[in-house]
Amino acid sequence: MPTDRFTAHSPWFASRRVRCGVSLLLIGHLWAVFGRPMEFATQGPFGTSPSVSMFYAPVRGYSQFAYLDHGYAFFAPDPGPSHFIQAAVTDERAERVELKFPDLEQQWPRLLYHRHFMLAEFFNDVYHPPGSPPPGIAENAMASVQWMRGRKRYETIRDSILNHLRKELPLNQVAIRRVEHRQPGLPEFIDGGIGTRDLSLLRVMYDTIDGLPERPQVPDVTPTETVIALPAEPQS
Amino acid sequence: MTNNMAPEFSPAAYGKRWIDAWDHFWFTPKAPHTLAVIRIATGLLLLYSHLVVAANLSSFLGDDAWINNETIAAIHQGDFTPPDASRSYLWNISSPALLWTHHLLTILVTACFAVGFLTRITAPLAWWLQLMLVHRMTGTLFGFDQVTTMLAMYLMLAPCGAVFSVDKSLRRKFSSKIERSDRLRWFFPDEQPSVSANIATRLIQLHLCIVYLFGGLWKARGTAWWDGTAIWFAVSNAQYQSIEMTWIGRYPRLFSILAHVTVFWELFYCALVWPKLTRPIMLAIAFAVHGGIALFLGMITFGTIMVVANLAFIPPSLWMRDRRGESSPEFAHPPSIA
Repeated sequence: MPTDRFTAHSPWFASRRVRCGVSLLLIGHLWAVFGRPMEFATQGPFGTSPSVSMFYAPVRGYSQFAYLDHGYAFFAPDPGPSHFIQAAVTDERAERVELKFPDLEQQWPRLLYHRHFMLAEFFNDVYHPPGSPPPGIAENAMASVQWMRGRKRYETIRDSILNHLRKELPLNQVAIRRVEHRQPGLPEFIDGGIGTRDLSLLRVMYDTIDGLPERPQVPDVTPTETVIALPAEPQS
Repeated sequence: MTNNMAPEFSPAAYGKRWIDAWDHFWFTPKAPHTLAVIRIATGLLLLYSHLVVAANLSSFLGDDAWINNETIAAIHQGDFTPPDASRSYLWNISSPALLWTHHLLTILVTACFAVGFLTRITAPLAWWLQLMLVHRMTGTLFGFDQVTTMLAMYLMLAPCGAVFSVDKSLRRKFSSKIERSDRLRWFFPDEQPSVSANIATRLIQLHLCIVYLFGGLWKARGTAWWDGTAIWFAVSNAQYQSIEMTWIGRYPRLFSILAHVTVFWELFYCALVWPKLTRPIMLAIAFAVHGGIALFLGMITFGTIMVVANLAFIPPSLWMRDRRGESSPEFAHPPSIA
């Protein structure tokens, strides 16, 4: 490449050696940008593709520190249900109110609402059932340790959320649970008249083993069994 | 033995053409105007994000946050899963006064970055402060944070404060002093095309191609994007809704077309955004898709930052008062590889 292409403001790049060095840095960076979504996309029930894992390993640390380690699976593979955290708050007179996070009525502007929305999704994503590892995992020592750590992670995050609510609402007892809010299918919506905020679309997600509700482990009170009403439909 | 291979097809000639094309792609100087527009938009969106966090600082930072300091450190340092390289000094700050001081500094630096004041310093600082914040706010982040951090990272590599900035006014005001010093000329760059502006632009463009490629590949793994119901399930998710769009459920041909166009657009964006012929179509669909996400799915910030990132494909000459000044050399002389 002729050097007269470079202006007085980019004299360093006239040197082939500099261009080679910069090129190597660019390749390394793009390797990190590409590596994580590739690794994320090649995860399966038996782990990540070994070749992709090996490909990403040299740049993993850089990718993570520079916050380049994303999967980019927006609304994919299918747009699924969303989740919220329901909190039962009982005051000194034993009167209970129920809060939900996120809540458009409480969190404004929309970005603040969305941060709470992501918190609820994160809380749901890290959920791990209680109890001992089930058969199939219990026989494998490493898998058993991972099972126990998964539960510990969920409990630590749950306790952090509870701690935050207790600091925000002193003198109250607080309990939380996860609630799933699915979308209506088209036949339900069109033929069945079920709107997007119909209570039948809500499902309380118990902290269970084998589908059996378990006694709350940390909450001071048990949230009510009924689901809370959702805000009215937004106006277009 | 005679070599019948034509000279232009010899491995050496082929390799040289690759090197020339690589040099042309990365090291052709580019004017900073498009990056300056991206800087203003990214800076303002980052500033808005920091102000929203400031309104609820104790909910996101410190020992009483939703995810407290101890928990965030445990998540990243390997207490539950293999450790990762995410690190933030904010994990160790408990003092509300110190957190407030740090956050006010973040807001101040980001505002300076947005208006282009001392950009050579405030651009890397704005990225660094954002990076520390995102590593602290795990669990409350989404695509908006991924893209703003990415743009801030690339903008700091380029003279993005050379135009549409306070720096430009300062350069004009103190031109005689600045012209005499190499250091000050670097600190207050002029709007001449530079290789660093081109590298930053290319990185944004390629990063965006990777985002869309994997976005499309993931959608192609689902069934709802193939049977066309994905748009319905997106607009009927009550927690995303900002404008009621469920009427679209009564028009299955319409919502299924939108789903199919979205998948194919994402999958082929990385190829079709480069040729001049298809680029306007790719960008038009990008603006429509992200505009729709911003308006109807309640993610105004995410939709806006994705539109901003797509501006990287707009030639700098579009933003110049005198458009004869730069003729987009990368398009005037497209590289030849094969």
